Amino acid sequence: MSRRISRRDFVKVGALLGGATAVMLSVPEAFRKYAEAVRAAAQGGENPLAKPESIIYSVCLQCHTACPIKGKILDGVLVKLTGNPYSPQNMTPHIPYKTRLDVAAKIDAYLCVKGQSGIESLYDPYRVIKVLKRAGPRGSNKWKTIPFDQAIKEIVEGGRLFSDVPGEEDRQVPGLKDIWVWGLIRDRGGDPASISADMKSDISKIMAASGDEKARLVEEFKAKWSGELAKYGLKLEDVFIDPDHPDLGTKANQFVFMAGRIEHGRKEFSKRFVIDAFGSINWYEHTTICEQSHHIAYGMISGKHHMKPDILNCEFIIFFGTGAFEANFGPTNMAHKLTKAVVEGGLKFAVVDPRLSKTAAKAWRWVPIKPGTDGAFALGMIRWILENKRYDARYLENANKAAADLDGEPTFTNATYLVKVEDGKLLRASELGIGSDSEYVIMDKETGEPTPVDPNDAENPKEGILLVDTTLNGIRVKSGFQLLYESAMSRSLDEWASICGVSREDIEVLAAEFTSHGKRAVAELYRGPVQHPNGYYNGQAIITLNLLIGNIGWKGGLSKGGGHWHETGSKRKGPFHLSSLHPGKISGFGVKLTREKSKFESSTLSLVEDVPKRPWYPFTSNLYQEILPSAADGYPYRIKILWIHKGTPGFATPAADAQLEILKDVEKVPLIIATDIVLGETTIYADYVFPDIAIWERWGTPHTSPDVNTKASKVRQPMVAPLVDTCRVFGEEMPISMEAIMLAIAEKLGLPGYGSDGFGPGMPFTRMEDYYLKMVANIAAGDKVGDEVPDADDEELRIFREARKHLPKTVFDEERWHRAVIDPEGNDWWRKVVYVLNRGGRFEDADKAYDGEYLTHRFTGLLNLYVEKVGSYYSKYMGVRFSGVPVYVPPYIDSKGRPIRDDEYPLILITYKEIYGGQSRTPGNYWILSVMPENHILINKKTAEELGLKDGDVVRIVSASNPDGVWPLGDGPYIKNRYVEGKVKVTGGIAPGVVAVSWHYGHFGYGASDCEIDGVVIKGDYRRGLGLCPNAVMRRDPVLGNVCLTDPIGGSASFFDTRVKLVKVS
Amino acid sequence: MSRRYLAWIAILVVLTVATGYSWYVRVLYNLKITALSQSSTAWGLWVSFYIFFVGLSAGAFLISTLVYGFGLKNFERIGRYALLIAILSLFGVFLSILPDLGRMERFIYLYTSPNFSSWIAIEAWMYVIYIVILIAELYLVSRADIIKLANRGAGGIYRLLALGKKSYTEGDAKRDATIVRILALIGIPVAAIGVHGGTGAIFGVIGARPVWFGAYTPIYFVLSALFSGAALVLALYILTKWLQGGEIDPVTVDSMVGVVILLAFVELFFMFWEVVTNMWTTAPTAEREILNIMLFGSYWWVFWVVELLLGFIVPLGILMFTKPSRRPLLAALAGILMVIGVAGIRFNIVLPTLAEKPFPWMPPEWDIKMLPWDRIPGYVAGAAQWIANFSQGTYYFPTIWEWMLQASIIFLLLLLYSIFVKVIPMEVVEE
Amino acid sequence: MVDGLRRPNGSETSRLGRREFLKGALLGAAVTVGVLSGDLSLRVAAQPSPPAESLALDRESELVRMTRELQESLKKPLQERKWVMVIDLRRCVGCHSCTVSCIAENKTPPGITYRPVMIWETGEYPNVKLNFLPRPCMQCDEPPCTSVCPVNATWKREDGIVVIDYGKCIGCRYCVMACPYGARSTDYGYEWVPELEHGPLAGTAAKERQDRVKSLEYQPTPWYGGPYGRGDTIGITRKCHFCIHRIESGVLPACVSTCIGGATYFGDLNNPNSLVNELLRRYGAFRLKEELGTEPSVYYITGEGGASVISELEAMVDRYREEVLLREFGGRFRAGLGGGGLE
Repeated sequence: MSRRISRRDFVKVGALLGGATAVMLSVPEAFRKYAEAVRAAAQGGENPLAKPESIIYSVCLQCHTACPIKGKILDGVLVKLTGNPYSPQNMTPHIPYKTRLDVAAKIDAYLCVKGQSGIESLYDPYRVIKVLKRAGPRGSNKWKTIPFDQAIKEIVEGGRLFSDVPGEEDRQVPGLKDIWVWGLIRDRGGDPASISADMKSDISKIMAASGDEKARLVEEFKAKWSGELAKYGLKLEDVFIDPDHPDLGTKANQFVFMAGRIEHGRKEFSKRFVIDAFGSINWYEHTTICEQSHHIAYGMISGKHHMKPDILNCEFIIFFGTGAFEANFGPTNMAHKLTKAVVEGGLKFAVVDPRLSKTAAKAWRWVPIKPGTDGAFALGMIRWILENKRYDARYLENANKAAADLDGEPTFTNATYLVKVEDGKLLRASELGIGSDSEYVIMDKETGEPTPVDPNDAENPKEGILLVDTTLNGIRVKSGFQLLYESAMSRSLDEWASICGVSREDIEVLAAEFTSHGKRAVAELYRGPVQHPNGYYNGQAIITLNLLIGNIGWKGGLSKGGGHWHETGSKRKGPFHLSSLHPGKISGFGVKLTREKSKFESSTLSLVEDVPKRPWYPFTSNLYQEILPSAADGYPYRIKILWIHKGTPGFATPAADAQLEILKDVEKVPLIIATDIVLGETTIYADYVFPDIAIWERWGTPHTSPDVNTKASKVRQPMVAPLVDTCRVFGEEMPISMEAIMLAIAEKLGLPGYGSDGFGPGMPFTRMEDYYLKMVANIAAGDKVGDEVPDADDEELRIFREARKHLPKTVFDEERWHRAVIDPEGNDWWRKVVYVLNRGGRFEDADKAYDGEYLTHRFTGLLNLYVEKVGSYYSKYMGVRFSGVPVYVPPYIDSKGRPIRDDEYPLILITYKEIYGGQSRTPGNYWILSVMPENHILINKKTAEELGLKDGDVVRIVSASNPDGVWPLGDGPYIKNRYVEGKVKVTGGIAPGVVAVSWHYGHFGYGASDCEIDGVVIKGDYRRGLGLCPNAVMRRDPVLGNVCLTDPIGGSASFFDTRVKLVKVS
Repeated sequence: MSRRYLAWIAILVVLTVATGYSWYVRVLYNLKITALSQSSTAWGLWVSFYIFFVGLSAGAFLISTLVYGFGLKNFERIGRYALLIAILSLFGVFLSILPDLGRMERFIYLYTSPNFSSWIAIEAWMYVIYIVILIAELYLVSRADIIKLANRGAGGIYRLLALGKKSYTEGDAKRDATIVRILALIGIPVAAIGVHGGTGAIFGVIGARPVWFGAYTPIYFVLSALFSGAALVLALYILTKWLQGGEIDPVTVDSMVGVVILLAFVELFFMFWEVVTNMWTTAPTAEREILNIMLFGSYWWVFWVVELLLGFIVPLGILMFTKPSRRPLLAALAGILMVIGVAGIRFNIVLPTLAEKPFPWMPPEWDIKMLPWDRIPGYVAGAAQWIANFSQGTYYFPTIWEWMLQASIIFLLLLLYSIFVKVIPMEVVEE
Repeated sequence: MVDGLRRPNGSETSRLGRREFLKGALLGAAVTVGVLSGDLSLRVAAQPSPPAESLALDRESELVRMTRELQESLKKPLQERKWVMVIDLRRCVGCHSCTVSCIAENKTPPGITYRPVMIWETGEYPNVKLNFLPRPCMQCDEPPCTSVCPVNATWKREDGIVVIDYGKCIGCRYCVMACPYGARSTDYGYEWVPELEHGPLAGTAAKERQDRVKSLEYQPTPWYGGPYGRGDTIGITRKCHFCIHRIESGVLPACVSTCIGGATYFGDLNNPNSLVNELLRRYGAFRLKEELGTEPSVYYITGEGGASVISELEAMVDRYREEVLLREFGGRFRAGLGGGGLE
């Protein structure tokens, strides 16, 4: 099949795909010039890379930490990446924001191995640079190139798009215009903005009602809107997916935008398109295959989704299922602080992880725990802490802000608030007749009497009794603390230890150490404990440890991070308040495809079914693994068009085999478009692949990990000319990209909020810079008046221009950029924008981190030791009420909450991430691959001996839901079935009975396989496909069948629970 | 010229040209075609053949000094053979090391900017002195016969070589004999210390490589040089005579066999103690582990089969249990086998030592080159891979190209030898 | 013997003492660094005085301090500088950022690593340890590699850096053999990026951009001689040079500035107040294979755990010989004949 291609053929391919060829032909010439320049300067030893004119600061995204980077550019070629010294993520303390550019140019800050390798991702020879259309069945990896305009026309208008593909000759493919119902209304004289808002408010009334009232409102709605729509010659079924269930929303919801990695900047940009312009509520990112339950657990407790230790001042940290050196939210930002604190600051840390990570290797203590039992471990610690009275009682007794203030505590908890045993709701003062609805009840510490308490009351300090178990007015109540106590006491320490497969001493020692440092100890978690069906509770249990010592907001305690200046202008409401700069904005509404953030009871589906067909997820969002299976089951509705953006559900999701089966089926997902920089594992199943601009070519405003205690707003900006082809949209030439496609569709459909008056009269939105530069201006302007950055002086302006002189007009057009940052009042923000761009963002100075013994940017206020929202929810699907305090639930359970017994599969499969790889973005980073060309199946020495395995043996991993251990890729000419096979590596660094496989190897797409474009075979590179990816054998839910195990509360996909068996191959 | 001899020449020409293709590949793709580029080993086959040839040259020369330095009459007939072999072997030295240089064209820097604290530079110069001595000696010892041939009108070449001299007097003979004697005696230290001991010193001074490092290395080099040189002279003398249909002198053969057997036992004696002392230690020393690899590891066959069986047991058996002067071809075979055995010894000096890396705990990943596609055409890379695809990590096995190139050198040397023995009067020309 | 893992037992101090660099410099007192005016005043202004126990935590970043000290030292003549690297093994996290940063900076081809990080496991479950050891070129004061070069293509500069003239090296690889640290390697001419013709960017693009993007290492500089292209380094030996092209411009070596564990330090040993001197004084250090007399310029700090690191290195050497060599090469002896005999 893989015929050898002559040079002539290659040139042809180059001509077809290599739109960037012309740009790149200049490179050798550029280098000759450069060499001459250096020769001239050689006597003084001057290094042109040490000059600010060669530098553009931007932001990495090889992992989601998004470290600020310094790109060194020579004649338009990005030659070196390193850390941005202005940024607190790259060094501690970072240099003052006002530092001159030429001084900063000579300071390269820390940057991890992936960030360094970004150059290889940027100049990946497998970059897609033209629009590709499928020229064979899905997954055949046969493509043809088509012009951008044709591609846009086809996806907008639909039709028999694949009449040349056998089996699809007559298949009518839906186009975007078929489901953009607002276009119908607009074209017939209606006003989509007001109609959608109206509908949305009617729907919310329906959702809020219950029982017969709900049914009545539905009928009322249908009557009202069939009348209204009739004015435009439309019927309900023209607009709604299901007129009987109008809460499912309009047909626009059948357009699903599914992003793998999307970050701030692009997030807002795409939401404006998907939700506010197209009117679909189905905008997703990948969080549940990442660490969603961790965010949800933090969110339920504090309202903030992410906290981190103030590492430098900590005295003790326990890392649960995570580390600081390899993955988590940032090796670059965390590693140097952690090692520094250990060596110079007297920090001690422990790692609770089945595998000896590099972090664990440096730890004071490594606790090899059984996967998924972190919650049990934490509850064991809680038991010890409670029994030994090592918790901060003084802190926990505080019931409102006034009491906390009195003790100098930034936060307080609802530990003393009374919970109704019957329904898990917090007792309201009104129920006892002693106060209002918004007041809760505590047993006053002094009087022992039920007392109303308003958490936000800053005047009257209230302190409650911690352990309460009583009946008031016939209502059986317990304090939250009591519930926690009962949960922790439900098993003995030995029992907790035996669940975790650790010794009792491990729990005791860690608990004792944790409670020996006052506020300067933190229990930190990330992915490890939460990507389990019991993930939320595990996360909650660990966070609860922090509540017991009340470390949040303290120096050396748990930090919510320094935060950022609001790039959408939401705080200052200007200079560019982006959400209001959207004329004709549509209000998307309805139940999301994944039924997230919705309660089954609120939906009209509860009128027709007792138990939902698939679970609903009221507490979480971005349920990535559930998108395709829901679409396949048509529950709650079928979808028409799927846009996969920088994501790979068919590879990165657990039970990826199930996802692939759905992707292959043109009935279940009629049209798939993808934006990707390379033909990735999932992208090869798409119908249209649009090239995207890579991180180093584009914009973004990512946020910062909360381990950074100062305020930071990072700005990603183009450093080099994009390799991709350009297209023409709104008369403007621009690189093909996610943004360009959105603008092009907007132009074609006439979506509101785009075009020459897109942001309002005289404020065009015809280029991506129009949007992003406004964000930069908002950052420059700050969150309030007087919070602005200084103006760039003439020298800075000169450097700014000089550093960008290699950028083409399609990217950098100073006059155009300047115009984009003149606000509606006519103020010119240009010089401030330049000041920010010259530094890759805006960073608060390091000395602002602390406020005495507190963090300057600290979390203050109420923390929910008892989570009422969760604790009072009854899941109809599972038939249980959730718990408001952490409880131990076994990790290996199905969607109904029943334990799964895969007795024939004795080993537990876990994955982890070496620092060497991003999720699925680094297989072309050969520099890193040379460090670790392939991954292995790690197995404990003892287990290996039992199984008769030794180093280097090749084994296949099989599980109950994938007994053949196969990646069902089909039998195409280029993409064939593969097996989950790899080499065994015997180590002492893993718990017995566990096998670990690192992620980001075993690629079959991303240039690892051959593909055919316009009839020419492009050979894959074997190096990109070495090793194995175990996702295909991860356990499918036995009840639902087409999705992996999922945490019913946090929504996290199970990565670390599958029971497997190793079958020796050779 | 005998048909047998013509056929021999023809075969050599064909083989040299055929294997010589590897030079083209080498020039085009540099060291990429070697297994070195795929393992962590930096020196390989060509370097071992480099020292192999140095040894042959030095050994052959030292045999010649038996005649010209010490006047041992028994060896008189092989004197010029020994000198010619020494000269051609030195050419082999040059040919073997040249392609091993990553920058062949820069070898001239050895002479234009030498660093005499480096034994390689010292050697490069020593070889020059040495080859001058060799050529002068060979010329002088055959001058009488050249003049005779020139006078006889045997060919212009001899008139040229005679440098216009028409007669060769007793006085000339005496003076030449003295010069030769002086040259031979000067040559002994040059060869033993400068050339071969010095090559040993290239290895012996490297403190970073425990097995090489030490005073014993140069001595061992010289001993095995003597052994291999004697064996080769013996073999080539017999073979040449056989091919030319000449008479094989039994006294010469018997004397040479005696020398070879003696040297073989001295060599064995040294080898025995080297192996035994190092294997006896309980400490996991580098020496012990490298011997372990040599004896029982991937290279086991080099030691047991090539060195011991082919290099010593079989040929010693032949030489000791047959009558060499009566069955000279068997003796020649024994000589060739011994030379092959010494090639094995050279291989084992260079390669197992390099199995141990400067930092043993460097993970194997570091050795796995992420070999991308390259400009090497498939057949070149494929052919290289075909034979060397286990070269990975520290394990090195030469590629087909390395073997071919080395073979081409050997064929070329044999060809040159075969031509030279035809041209140069190798024995006293009858009046 | 290979095992150059001797603990210095104060050999550093005596060495420094010999040079009298430390005259008058009190332990810890030298921490205070004068605030410089002008370009180099990078310290965060108005720091609240930190509590005593968190001594260095609130000061300027090590990177800034080292950059400042580097730029100061550059004002001195070459022969008065003595560049050293200090690697704090307690802070090395085995991430290979230095390794890849070096590849990126010097555009080294596959098979060449100026700065590998060796990782090995010791102990038995659950008392297992991972050990990390970065290995740049040691820039020895008595380099065994330079004297063996037959053509004078490599030498030690006056500031202690051992360099190679890429225009002169003949590629004999003798220096590779002579280096006891494995710090020299041969450029066999491989390239990272597949032949262009194979990718969608067929023809020119990625190749030009990745491989022909030359490092300053190839540029004609006073240290390297003539102009070099990628082609000019093929077939010859290459090595770490502390990123001369960076330090001479007042920028720290790539591995130092990218070390996310903050484990790598660089500075002038001749400056008694430099961070490297301060660290050596405070923690002591060992150097690799000191018994060979190479006098490396790279120091390793192990802190209190130093002795165990060294014994683990030694254990690993033995284990390597007994296990890894055995695995890669086979062989039947596990102990010497005198001890264990044939298995």
